[in-house]
Amino acid sequence: MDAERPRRLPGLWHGVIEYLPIAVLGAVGFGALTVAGGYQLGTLDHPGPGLMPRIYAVGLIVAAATVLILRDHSIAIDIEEGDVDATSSPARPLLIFAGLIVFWLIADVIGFIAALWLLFLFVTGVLDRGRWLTKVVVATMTVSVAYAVFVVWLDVPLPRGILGF
Amino acid sequence: MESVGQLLEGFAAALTPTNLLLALIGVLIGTITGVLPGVGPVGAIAILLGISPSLGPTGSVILFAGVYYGSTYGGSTTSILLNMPGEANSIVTAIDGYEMTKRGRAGAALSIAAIGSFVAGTISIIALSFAAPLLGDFALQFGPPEYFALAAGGLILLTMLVPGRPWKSIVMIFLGLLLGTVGIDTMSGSQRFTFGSGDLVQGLGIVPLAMGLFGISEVLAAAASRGQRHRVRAPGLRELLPTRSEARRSVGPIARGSVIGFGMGLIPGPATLTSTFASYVLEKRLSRRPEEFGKGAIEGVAGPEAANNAAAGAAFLPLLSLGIPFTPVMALVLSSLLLNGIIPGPDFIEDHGDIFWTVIASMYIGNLVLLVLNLPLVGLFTRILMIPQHYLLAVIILFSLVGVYADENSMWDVLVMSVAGLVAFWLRRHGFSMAPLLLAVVLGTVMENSFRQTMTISGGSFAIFLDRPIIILITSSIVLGLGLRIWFAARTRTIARRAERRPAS
Repeated sequence: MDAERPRRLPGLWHGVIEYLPIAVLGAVGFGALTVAGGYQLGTLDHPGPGLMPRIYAVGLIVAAATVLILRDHSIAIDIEEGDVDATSSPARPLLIFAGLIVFWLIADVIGFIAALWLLFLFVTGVLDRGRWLTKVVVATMTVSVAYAVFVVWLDVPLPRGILGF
Repeated sequence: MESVGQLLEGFAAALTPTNLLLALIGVLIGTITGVLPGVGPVGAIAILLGISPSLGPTGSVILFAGVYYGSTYGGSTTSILLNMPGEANSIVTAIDGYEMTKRGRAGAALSIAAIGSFVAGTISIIALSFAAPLLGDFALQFGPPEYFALAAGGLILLTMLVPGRPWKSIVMIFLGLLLGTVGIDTMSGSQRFTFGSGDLVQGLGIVPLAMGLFGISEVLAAAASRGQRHRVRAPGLRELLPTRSEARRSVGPIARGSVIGFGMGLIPGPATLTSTFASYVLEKRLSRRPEEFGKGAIEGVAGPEAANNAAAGAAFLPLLSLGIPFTPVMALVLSSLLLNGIIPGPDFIEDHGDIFWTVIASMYIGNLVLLVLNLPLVGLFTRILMIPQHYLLAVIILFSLVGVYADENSMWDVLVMSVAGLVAFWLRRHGFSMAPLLLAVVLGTVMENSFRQTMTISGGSFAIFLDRPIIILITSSIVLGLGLRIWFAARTRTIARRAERRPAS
């Protein structure tokens, strides 16, 4: 029968991990309701810009609370619910996200294409520890194709930084 | 007859080298997307959305339509050969398709899937060609109350149809509706949730949101899992021929699957997936050899494959005739039209008949291209699975970044996409689906504006919603849809319970 139960994540932070998303979404609802309180409500025959945000925010709070109430009280994540395996390590996705943020910070400075090339190498490096020479060659070829399609063919004005491309 | 003349003009426009090339590229990208597990048509179209303004409205829709129905075809290839559905729509095909592969009938399964997809796709496009103008004429009677009922009803139905827990879908819908209010309120001109940021005044763009929610989150999800490389033997050309018996047994399921798929494609939600289940259950019930299902019955491949392709075509109907997208893919197609300054709605066929008929004609052509190209190239497509995952993911990230920047030439969009990707990845790990969120962002503006206009028209009276026959029709359809969903869920539970009891007894 154990096999039929939801799988549990190891560690002390089960509860926090499980309830954090719904708590954050509920908090977003409260925040939105507070901010929307400053917008004009209007009247029924002339609803103002504040009416729908208030309704949506209350809806979000109620729906988040319902999800919380309807859950069983075990501190487990039902992995069958999500389309992403909840037991997989988030380390590599977080590293890739960090790479995207660094790209966002440096693309204007060193140039979009140069930053893309660096990001490509970083992502392949995070995901695989294989030969770097192959990665450099593939990165150069892929970035060249992107340059040909978007800059040469479609005339997209990508930011040019200190490196000129 | 007027429609036939316009369709012929559409063919003349669709057969220009540029449009032909876009249809070809679309079905190729779609097939590759379908073959690769995880990416899906939504992610692929989201990534390509950035180049939509460069392609123009007609070119964009031709490309995206190709990706959409190409992916429904591509998914079946890996389902049949590897028991690994490239996307959810092909899960049912894997049941009997892979069993046929194990018995050495992979070629027949692939060709019946291709022929079924082609026939259903063509039937669906023919129905679309004639139904869209009629529905467009009918929709001319729609006013703000009807649009509000349609948008709100679509979202209500969606909560019941998206897999997973309905309350989680409702949370995502309200979050999407809230995100849709960010920026300038088009009716009063006041700013909402902008917090003094100039970037937020224009609101959160659909392009970076969609690319983050579907493209980047998928990359992050794939990065979290251990990628596998697959080796597969693709059947030769001679092996593709089905036997006379297999061909005969497929005719009925393809015809029924086409009808089921088209009908279900008109309902909001993941019709391309649900129609495959409906077709499979129906074929098993009608079959003289139900015991063969699950062991390699050709009907189990033909019916579902026809159903998901017909549903893919039907999904264009509400968008092109009402301007309301009922699926995430259609929300992205709508975005591409909006990016090009085209607002779909009841007047769309009247005002932009050239675009509508060119798109329809290109669908006929794309469907034919799929049939002619994909069977001989099945070996090539399956070899794509052998490309190392780290290169595939890096390429997707690279094209997402250039694509999202190209949309508005804005680094802000790059940031929105990245953050949306991480948040979506995190929420998906906890069972939240992104499809309701994106649809709510798109439908939120329609819903809010039409509600406020309705209240102004009615002088603040809600009775207006009870006076309009079309609203009663829409409401009845929604109640019927919800009733069917509840009945279907209850029936599935009963069958599952019976199946559980059987081994014990």
